[in-house]
Amino acid sequence: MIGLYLALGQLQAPVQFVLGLAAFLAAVTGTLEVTAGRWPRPRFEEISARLVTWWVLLAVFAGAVVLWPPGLILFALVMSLWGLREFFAMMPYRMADRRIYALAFLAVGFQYLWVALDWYGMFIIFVPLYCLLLVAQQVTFLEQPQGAFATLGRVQLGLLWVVFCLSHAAYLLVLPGGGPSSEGLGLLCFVVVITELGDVGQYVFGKVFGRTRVLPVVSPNKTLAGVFGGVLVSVGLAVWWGPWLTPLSTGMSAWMGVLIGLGGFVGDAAMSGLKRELGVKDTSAALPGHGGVLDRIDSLLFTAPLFFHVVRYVHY
Amino acid sequence: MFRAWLFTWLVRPLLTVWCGFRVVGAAHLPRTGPALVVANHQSHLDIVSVLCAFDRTARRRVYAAAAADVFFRGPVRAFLTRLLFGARPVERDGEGDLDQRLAPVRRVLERGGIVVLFPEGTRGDPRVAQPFRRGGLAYLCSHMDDLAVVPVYLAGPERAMPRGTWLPLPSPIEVRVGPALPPSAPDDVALTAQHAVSLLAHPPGPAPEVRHAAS
Repeated sequence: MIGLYLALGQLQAPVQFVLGLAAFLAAVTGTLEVTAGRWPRPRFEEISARLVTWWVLLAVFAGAVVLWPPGLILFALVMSLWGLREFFAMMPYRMADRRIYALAFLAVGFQYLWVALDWYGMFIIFVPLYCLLLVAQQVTFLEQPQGAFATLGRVQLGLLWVVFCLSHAAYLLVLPGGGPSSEGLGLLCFVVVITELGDVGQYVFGKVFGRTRVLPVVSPNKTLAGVFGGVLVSVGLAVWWGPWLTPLSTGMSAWMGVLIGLGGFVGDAAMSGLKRELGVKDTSAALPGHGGVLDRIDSLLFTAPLFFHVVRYVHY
Repeated sequence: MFRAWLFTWLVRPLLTVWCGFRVVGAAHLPRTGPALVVANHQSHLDIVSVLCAFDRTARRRVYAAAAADVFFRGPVRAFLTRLLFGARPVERDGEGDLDQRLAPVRRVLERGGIVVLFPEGTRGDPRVAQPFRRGGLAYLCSHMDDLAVVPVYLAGPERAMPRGTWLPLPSPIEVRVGPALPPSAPDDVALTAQHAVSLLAHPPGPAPEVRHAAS
């Protein structure tokens, strides 16, 4: 880790990249401020709140990239814990299950420990297998069969969806092997930033051109034009950044753009569907203008593992 | 003041990170006394949450009315509850008259303090609202003309740290503050306050199609 810190000089591309992002965000913020008079007031307030949140998120992310890359594992850990808290808070709750929830939060720490240790075998099997067995044992030994298997479902789904999926983003950091590396940092930046900007692209294209609804019942705001726009933005950015930040070729980068664009759409829609069933609008109010942490990372929960496994299969 | 410092720099940040602590309607919180903050009571986190909801300057004036038989049993415990929560003892079921049992609370109110009171008297079963006890509220309101009574609903502490547990789990906590109660006959204050708190728990109007998760 100290070696990595000293090797700051090698982190050129990702550092340049996050600085470029900050410049981009500054340009967007400046444009918004200059044209403030032309926006309807509530809309302006909403976009401002979103931008402030983006600044905070970028500051934490970029701070970690520049100063201490292993901090990104910690950042992902905190996002997982917050996301899991929001996930459980949406669901009905049995008082008796308190210990199982405590174990679930404890398991988050272990999952990221495997990431930090670069222990791939454990990382990939821990949540889907060992956590399942442990939670099943726990709900059984509570001796309260009424609702026991609903609890098993809720806890295990939360661990898989929010923790296991997101931890793939963190694992990109150590994917090339031998601890956190500049190359891993590039992969991580690539998937996180393209997923988020693909989201923005989908939102903007949907607002401007959107007509046909893709999933009118589950997620009525998603339009065909939005999805195409999101994929377009993702592919464009992927082709631009892939050869620079990652070992991917240009052609492969384009395909990764498609994968991230579509994966992000499905991830977003899947979380919307769950929220709709539970009658929840935002998962919390943690991020002003965005809703909860889960609302922000829902697309990343799908894109990170997809991207991770393709890249791992092809390159490592 | 140690307590104000502790809550500003340690407890509230911890509660924010761990439990997503959040205050709705903070503007309604009294900034000067004499004022009573009445809230529902289900967890030991309740008083912590209410103290966190105040800002630093107001928090110096906030005191908690605590059951003498539990929190003032033994000198160490009494010292700690005084130090950490600014607790003032209330004899819940004492034989003496209210004058005597509420004297410590009345003293801080008369000095311009803000007192947090849980009129349910004890931590009830979660999600089952206990009736507000009338005696204390009626006594305080009839003896102090300018006493503001502010209703607060605490959503989440009963889930983060239910009765019988000592470690808060990550689970959202929301403090909902309502406007001070309109003046009413001292005997009706408990009922009015209970109504105001339950309105904060279940806002009126048509049931919304969607609700926020932090409840």
